[in-house]
Amino acid sequence: MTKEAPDEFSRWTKEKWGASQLPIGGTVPYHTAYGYKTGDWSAFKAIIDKEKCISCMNCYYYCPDSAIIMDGDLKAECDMDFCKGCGICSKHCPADAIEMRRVTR
Amino acid sequence: MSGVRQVVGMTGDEAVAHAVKLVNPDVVAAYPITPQTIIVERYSDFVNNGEVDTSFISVESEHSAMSACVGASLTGARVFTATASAGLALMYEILYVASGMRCPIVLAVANRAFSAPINIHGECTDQLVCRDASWVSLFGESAQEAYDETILSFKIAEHPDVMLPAMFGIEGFIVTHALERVETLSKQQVEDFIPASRIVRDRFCPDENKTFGSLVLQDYYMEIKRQQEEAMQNAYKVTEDAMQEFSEMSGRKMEIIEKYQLEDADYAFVSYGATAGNAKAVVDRLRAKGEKVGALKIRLFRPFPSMDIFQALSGIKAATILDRSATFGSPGTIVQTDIASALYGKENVPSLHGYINGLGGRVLTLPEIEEVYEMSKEYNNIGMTSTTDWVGYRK
Amino acid sequence: MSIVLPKVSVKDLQEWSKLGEVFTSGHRLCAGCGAGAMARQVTLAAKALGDPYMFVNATGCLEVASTVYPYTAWDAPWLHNAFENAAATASGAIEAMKSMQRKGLMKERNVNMIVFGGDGGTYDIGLQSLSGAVERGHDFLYVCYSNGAYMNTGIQRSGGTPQGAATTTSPPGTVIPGKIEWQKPLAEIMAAHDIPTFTASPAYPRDLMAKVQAGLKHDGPAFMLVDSPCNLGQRYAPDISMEIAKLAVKTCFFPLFYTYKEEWTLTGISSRLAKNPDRKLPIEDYLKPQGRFRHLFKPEWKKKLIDIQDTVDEKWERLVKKATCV
Repeated sequence: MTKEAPDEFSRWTKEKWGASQLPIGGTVPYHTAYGYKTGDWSAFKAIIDKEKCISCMNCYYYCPDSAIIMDGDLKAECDMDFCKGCGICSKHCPADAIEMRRVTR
Repeated sequence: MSGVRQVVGMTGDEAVAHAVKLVNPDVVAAYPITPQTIIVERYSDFVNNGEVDTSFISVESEHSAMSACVGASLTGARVFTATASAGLALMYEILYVASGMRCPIVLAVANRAFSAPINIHGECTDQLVCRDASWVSLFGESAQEAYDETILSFKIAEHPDVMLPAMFGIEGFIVTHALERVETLSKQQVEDFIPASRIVRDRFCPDENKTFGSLVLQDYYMEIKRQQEEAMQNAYKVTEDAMQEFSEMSGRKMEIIEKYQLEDADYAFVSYGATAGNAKAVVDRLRAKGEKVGALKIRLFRPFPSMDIFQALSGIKAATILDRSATFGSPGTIVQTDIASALYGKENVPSLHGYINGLGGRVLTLPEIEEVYEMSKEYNNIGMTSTTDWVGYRK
Repeated sequence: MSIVLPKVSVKDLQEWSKLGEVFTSGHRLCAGCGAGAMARQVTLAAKALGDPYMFVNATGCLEVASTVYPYTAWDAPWLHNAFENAAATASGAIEAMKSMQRKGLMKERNVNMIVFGGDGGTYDIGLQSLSGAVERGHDFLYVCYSNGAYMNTGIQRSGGTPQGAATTTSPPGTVIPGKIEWQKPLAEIMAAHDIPTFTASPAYPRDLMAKVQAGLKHDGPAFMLVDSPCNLGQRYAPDISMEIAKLAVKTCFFPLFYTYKEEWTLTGISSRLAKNPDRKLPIEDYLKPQGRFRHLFKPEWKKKLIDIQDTVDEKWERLVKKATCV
């Protein structure tokens, strides 16, 4: 699954729309935050060993950033585009399946 | 054209309530404050007697009144509220939210003096100081004008080229509580004038995943505010057209500015609201004495009708501006400074003499207005192009 | 009439993870923010009910960080008006929709309205608006996520700041060690309006989500106070947010309960602690990991720590006395 903002929205930001193009009143007429990737915020990333995942859902509901995605088998995956590297998931994984690893860019 | 005209005796507040009843808005959220109370009391009667199907939200403050109006308006509903003085001041923060989020809310203001000292009587400062809040702003002279402007305001505010809130003011007690003759409209006339359909806009409702009230920073804030200025500029033409249509529908002439005996005049009174009635009465008295004087009444205060005022005052020697509002340390009365800006640099324009008067419901008598008129002539004779005085108080 | 908490199982949690996010990635809350977890749990609990939902948000961290224009992390109808008026704003929207439904201008159906406010927007500046809206009986669930200070403006003291906590306007001075006063009893104040009132913690999602659903199912206003850990303002490492939140419950500093009229019911860990008092942890366990309480561990403020423990105990005992356990 990829999380992307609507096509029109990329024009909005790229072309830097002005008063005549923007919706009135500062309304944002659709969901757009997938255009703002927060994955580069941290030096750490959650590396998940899916084999160990027991689908307890701790990481999923604790993640402040919806950066845990449950796959078709209800195994946790980390969405690196949005993971801010806080490490809560790793702390509360009863199966010890999540390791916080330093990311080199 | 209207059929048989019905005439009813009503106070200004009652006139507003009856006009709102014909509009039957979806939501009225209001808090009581003298001298606005009759509006919400009468409207509560209509609601509780099943004469309207409005949701009446009896909120715990004016701040919440305007806040509820914003929430209601964004769902696409037709919304009305009313307040005065301290209540309007308490709403002030949310006035900007209402216009910034483009909510066509209609607000009746029973113009009343600000505290302190606490006073419950007529004065227009409350509404005038909201001039920069991006609200269409009108004043009414009588119960009739209150009635008419109530209905007109919905038409202006909800126009797709405007989509801004609108307020109109009538002076506390002087108009709000005075029993006057009011020609009413029929339900059908109002329904023809204001379409039953609700506004087409982005709506805060279950089917639309839209975000209202974002944090807009340096990169976009000015663009959003500029949209408001364009809407306000559009509001001039929309008001002009709406007044024209209203005049035809009601058989009562309604104009952005009203000119009285100005054609051949050398001198003019400029005023708004109830004072305009006194000004016209003084014009009659002075005309009887052979003075070439007329009166100009401003009904639309925002957007300010600069061009109309320039044209109306062109060729006048001196203008006496009767301003029932207080301002301190200002270069002129509130309305005077606007007029001065409108006339600045133009030829053949009058000297401007502003008079702060009538604060807290003080009456400026007709003889006093005549004295003020003489003062203006005197100032003009000695070449003073702009003066500002307080009149009608004990030194 | 009483409140029935739905049972939320791990199976439910698994199913609800397939619903699709309402409060999504791409917001700018701090890494480790408790409010992010709280908002996700609340919104998913609402979505799981099936009826349409809408959100009104008071000014605060959650509002600011989720809607930096032109980005919005809300895949939902969402409205922010101002700081002190979220409840009033919601009441306007609710009544407008009712009115338009009556007139045939809007489809008739149940809509679940959720209002979010922080402790600043609820304990302090928005309390009047909230109390007024609740008195008028509009059907909404107000969720106050309290992180114990005005975190959004730089960690100033609020009516929800715990006693002894250091904030930028209650700094740990040489004479006064942080905030002097205890928190305003907000849950009790709201409960006194005779509305269902819940406390919850994002560290216990099943408890929190069950309460959200119970609050939304109730016809009329309901209130929920959430303890929302804040690593920035409470000063601890981001990865222990949920541990801090758990300690607040395990020390009985923030008991989990719900109440409606005269019924008080302890839930989850709090219920177990009432039955097994010896498992209650000392308040120091909650205070010590947080930088905002560090000064209290200096020898000169020993008395302060004892006072705080006494107050926690006294409040907890009072609650246990009137509450039943589940």
